[in-house]
Amino acid sequence: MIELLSPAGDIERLKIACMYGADAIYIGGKDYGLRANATNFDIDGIKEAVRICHENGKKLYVTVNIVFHNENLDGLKKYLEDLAKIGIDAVIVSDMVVIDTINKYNINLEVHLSTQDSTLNSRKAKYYIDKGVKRIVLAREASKEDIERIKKETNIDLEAFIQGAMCTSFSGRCVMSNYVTNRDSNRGGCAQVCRFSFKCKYDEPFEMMSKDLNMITNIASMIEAGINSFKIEGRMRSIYYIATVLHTYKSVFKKIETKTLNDEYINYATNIINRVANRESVPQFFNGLPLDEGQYYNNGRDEKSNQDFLGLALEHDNGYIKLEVRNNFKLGQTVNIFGPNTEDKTFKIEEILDEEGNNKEVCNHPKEIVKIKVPFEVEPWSMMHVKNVDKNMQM
Amino acid sequence: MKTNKIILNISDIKDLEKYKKLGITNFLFPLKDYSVGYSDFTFDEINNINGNIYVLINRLLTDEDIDNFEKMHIPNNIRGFIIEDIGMLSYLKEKGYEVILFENHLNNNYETVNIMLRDVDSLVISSDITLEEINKIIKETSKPLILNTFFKPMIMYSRRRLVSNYDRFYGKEFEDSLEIKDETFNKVFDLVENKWGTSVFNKEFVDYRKALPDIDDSKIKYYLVDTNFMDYNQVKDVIDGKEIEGTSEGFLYTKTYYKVGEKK
Repeated sequence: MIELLSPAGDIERLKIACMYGADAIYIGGKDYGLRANATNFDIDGIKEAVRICHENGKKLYVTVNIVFHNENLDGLKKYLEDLAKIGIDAVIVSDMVVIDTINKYNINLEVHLSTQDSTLNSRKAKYYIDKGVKRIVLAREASKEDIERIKKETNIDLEAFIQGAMCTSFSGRCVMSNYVTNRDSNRGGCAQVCRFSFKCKYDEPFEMMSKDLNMITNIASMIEAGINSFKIEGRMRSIYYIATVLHTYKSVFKKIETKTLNDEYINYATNIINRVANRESVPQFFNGLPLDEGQYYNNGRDEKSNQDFLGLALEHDNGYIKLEVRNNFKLGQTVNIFGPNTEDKTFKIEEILDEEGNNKEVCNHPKEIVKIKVPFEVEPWSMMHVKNVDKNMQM
Repeated sequence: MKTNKIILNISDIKDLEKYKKLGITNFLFPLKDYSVGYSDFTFDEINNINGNIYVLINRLLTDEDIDNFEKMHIPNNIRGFIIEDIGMLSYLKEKGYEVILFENHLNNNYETVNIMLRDVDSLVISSDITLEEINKIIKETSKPLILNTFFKPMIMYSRRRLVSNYDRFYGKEFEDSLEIKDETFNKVFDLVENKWGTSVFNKEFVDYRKALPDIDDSKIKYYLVDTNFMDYNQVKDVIDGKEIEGTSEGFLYTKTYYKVGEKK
């Protein structure tokens, strides 16, 4: 079983993930998740998320992966019972109190061990398997050899991150945020202090954060090594990011299946991912310890948000798409559009109409609804974006 | 703090006899190739030292690491191991060693501590929690615990070689430690690197000694004093109960928060 696992910070993102090829989606509740400042889901929201996922044949996992303090224990049992009643497919946990509560009260929940526990060896995996864990989310630092060995010794379901931001630290082993800002990193308050620029005895600033993770080049090897679930980071990312990343990885999986994946496509897909993430992403740890090239940018660090996402296609009717505007574009501009089941296509905007049917030359009001003439069929929920990456574009 | 309950994390083996003269009998040695952030020692160096000798394994380990460990000859004077990676547990228990769990930054509540104590002999109490939380853990748990009492907190452990990556990128001479400063919050950190990764320490020592009268001594197995970054005289002052300048009480009286708007 191979699973593409997407994050979702709210219902809109979850719907997008369902449409754009996720096989499973993970979300955080209002409490007990490691993104305390994301929108997150209350119990009714999780219920709705389960309904949407299951109607679309997808699985839903809920993170309950904070490091619990005494004050967080009240309400845990009821919360887990509520999640079980709702019918979620698994909880992602790091603290043994969650596993023990599930076992002690015979709560019908499948347990996945979070990457916060930084599993790198089969003995540790066996310890948790004995406690009832059904899947291990590996440490991001796991190498190909580590993964193969854990799989060989345990045959447990393995989940690994393939895309997104990396902690500088082993996950869970960092409290820089606690010491610098008093915000508890292991309860979802991480202030990302590792992304600061530090002074040291030299003139050049000291930086410790890493580039993002991007495992496109290693997906086939990861399948061979025994990974079952391929996880994308980023519950707080935009719908455009989620759609683009899922769409790209889904294509990579299909090309692996049909044995048509080549270097040219890998290069193209990598450029798309780098563009949407606003920073460079590279493979890390799977083939060895990343050195300075995994951290430092030759042309300096540039993480400015781009405005590539131009609009969300709501429907297609008689040669026109109804589009919800997200960023500026104008008549005559050449743009691209891709949909849940369609490849990225290029077209020139030759006609824009407002809601009353009047011609427009420029769209510069986010959330404005306009109609645009498009020379091909467009699926609802397609993403129109700046023509940013050519298939022949080199890094 | 009774000297017979102090356990010293040793950074310089030359000072050992002097510590013994101060009445210290419990020693912790970070094991070479199996620890990060500290001066480390081989089993040969630890062999034949008298006292209650514990070995620190604070790395997160691969199967290959554990395979290699299982081939090593462990000296007879070793009483137990303080471990970060629970993957070490089954082998060490099979061999009959005392096992103390020190999963840095995890195990922050009394229920989790009790759950882990079903499998290990003791556990190092987290230094990320308040005195009230510590006392609740001590009150509710079934076995005596280790209290980190005077230490420079290791606030991050990265598999990456952060110092040498910087040196390589900017063409500096290689070094295995570096002091860095965040000027916005005026915080200083010490980075210590070895082959297995980089440890980031908060510059300021944390001193729990003044809080000890408020902690139930009968539930404390050892008071851990970390000699890392200290010379003998400073360690002696700590043991003698002298005031040490420039320390903090960590989070003993400062609760962390985690949701925007929660901080008063």
